[in-house]
Amino acid sequence: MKPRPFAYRRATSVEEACSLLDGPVDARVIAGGQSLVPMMNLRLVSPGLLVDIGGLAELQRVTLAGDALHIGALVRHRQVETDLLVARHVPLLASAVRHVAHQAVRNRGTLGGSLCHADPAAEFPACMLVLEATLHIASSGSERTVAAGDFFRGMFATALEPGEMLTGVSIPLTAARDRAALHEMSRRHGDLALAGIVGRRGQGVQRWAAFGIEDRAVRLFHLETVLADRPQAGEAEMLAALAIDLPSTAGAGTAGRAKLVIAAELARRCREDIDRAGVTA
Amino acid sequence: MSGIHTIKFRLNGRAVAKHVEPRTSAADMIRHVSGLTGTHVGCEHGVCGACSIVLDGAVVRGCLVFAVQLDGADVETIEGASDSGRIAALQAAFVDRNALQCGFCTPGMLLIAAELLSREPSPSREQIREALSGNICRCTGYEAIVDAVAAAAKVKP
Ligand SMILES: Cc1cc2nc3c(=O)[nH]c(=O)nc-3n(C[C@H](O)[C@H](O)[C@H](O)COP(=O)(O)OP(=O)(O)OC[C@H]3O[C@@H](n4cnc5c(N)ncnc54)[C@H](O)[C@@H]3O)c2cc1C
Ligand code: FES
Ligand code: FES
Repeated sequence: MKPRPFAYRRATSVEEACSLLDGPVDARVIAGGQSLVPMMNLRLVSPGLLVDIGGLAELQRVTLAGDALHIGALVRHRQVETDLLVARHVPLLASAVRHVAHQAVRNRGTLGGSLCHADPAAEFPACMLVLEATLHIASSGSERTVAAGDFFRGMFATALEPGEMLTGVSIPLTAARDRAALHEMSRRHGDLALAGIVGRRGQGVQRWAAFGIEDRAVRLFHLETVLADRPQAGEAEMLAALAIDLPSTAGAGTAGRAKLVIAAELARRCREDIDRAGVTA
Repeated sequence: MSGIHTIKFRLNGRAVAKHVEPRTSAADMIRHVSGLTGTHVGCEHGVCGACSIVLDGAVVRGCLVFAVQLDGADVETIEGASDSGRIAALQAAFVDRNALQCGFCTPGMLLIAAELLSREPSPSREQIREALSGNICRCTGYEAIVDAVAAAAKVKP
């Protein structure tokens, strides 16, 4: 299908993009377009104005800033796959990206787009939770930051207010260098996950998250506590913790129960990788 | 507001200018305005890969880029890739191995396979499968396509 008619503006600065978003028409940012355009073509969304931020070079960089790695919102999945700073400092992302979509989609899709789209089955939101990333948000004349843990609010829902855009994320280097792993189950390589788990273990730290299971990427606080006490906790114990962390799945009958069993197995595989050396996906 | 935009870009090496409505996809413009019908349109939501084009050196979905976004870009279609000879070895391998039946998926398969070989000159079968995983073929069952790409990889200098 074809999208409904809309107006199109190419922004030349973050400031200009924000002021266009602030206008009276229902405006949307277009970054890589790899989630937005399918939704427009299926007429699930019909914005009145597209603000194309694709030309904003300042959002396409990966930089070391103090004790964090800053990744611009417009850094494409392909760049996450090949960037030397990402490979060196956040190997989890460099390996997780191989699960994100297919080659041609990765050539165009952006990290910021994936986070703002907030698909419950997407890999990057869950990675941001376990890496305890900070998201940088701009609007006309102001800026603010939001912790990843406060950003994802539900299916396709985030903490972004009208008129706001994401400019990038900062990932603390201490977290980024910990051993971490991601495992998921999907029908074909590159498809959205039917269930996925990502975990990180540092000095006395356990950070775990699930995606493709609830209506958003979720931190697994109970699983973290169990694994902090007993790193080699058995399957039954992990399942019990997951049932508390993923309440709507636990309450969804046999299908939900099956998902929990899959989640526990994926968590076990992540732990095995972390025990071995970390960073596999 | 949703008026006509004038865009200038390079199409298969030639400078062109077009007038487009924002909602026209790059794939539709290439087919209907430029008359290059090797770019196919299947699902129109990013799933099948039939609409693949090369945008500033990278293979992308022509149905997920609006034509208006091509202003200033360098675009190559299957016609350009074929005429330049850069995918000749792949094309020959596809013919040898019967890697196409109806041909609807073929332009996309060739472009993504060429990109794979430029990044990874001697890919494993697993890597070939992974690279083709975003392109749907309803005829061949894929095996012959994977064989053809593997054969072309061997032919390459
Ligand atoms: C066939 C196919 C398979 C896919 N498989 C996967 C998969 O396995 N895993 C996965 O994670 N994703 C998958 N995707 C989605 C893909 O990763 C997208 O690239 C990504 O979700 C969105 O990034 P984008 O840059 O294309 O965003 P866009 O499509 O441009 O935008 C998505 C949404 O975010 C908003 N937005 C974008 N950038 C900003 C910003 N900087 N500030 C504020 N709002 C913004 C837009 O307004 C829009 O609402 C798939 C897509 C396709 C077509
Ligand atoms: S028509 Fe573009 S991916 Fe199917
Ligand atoms: S040859 Fe018919 S779709 Fe591939």
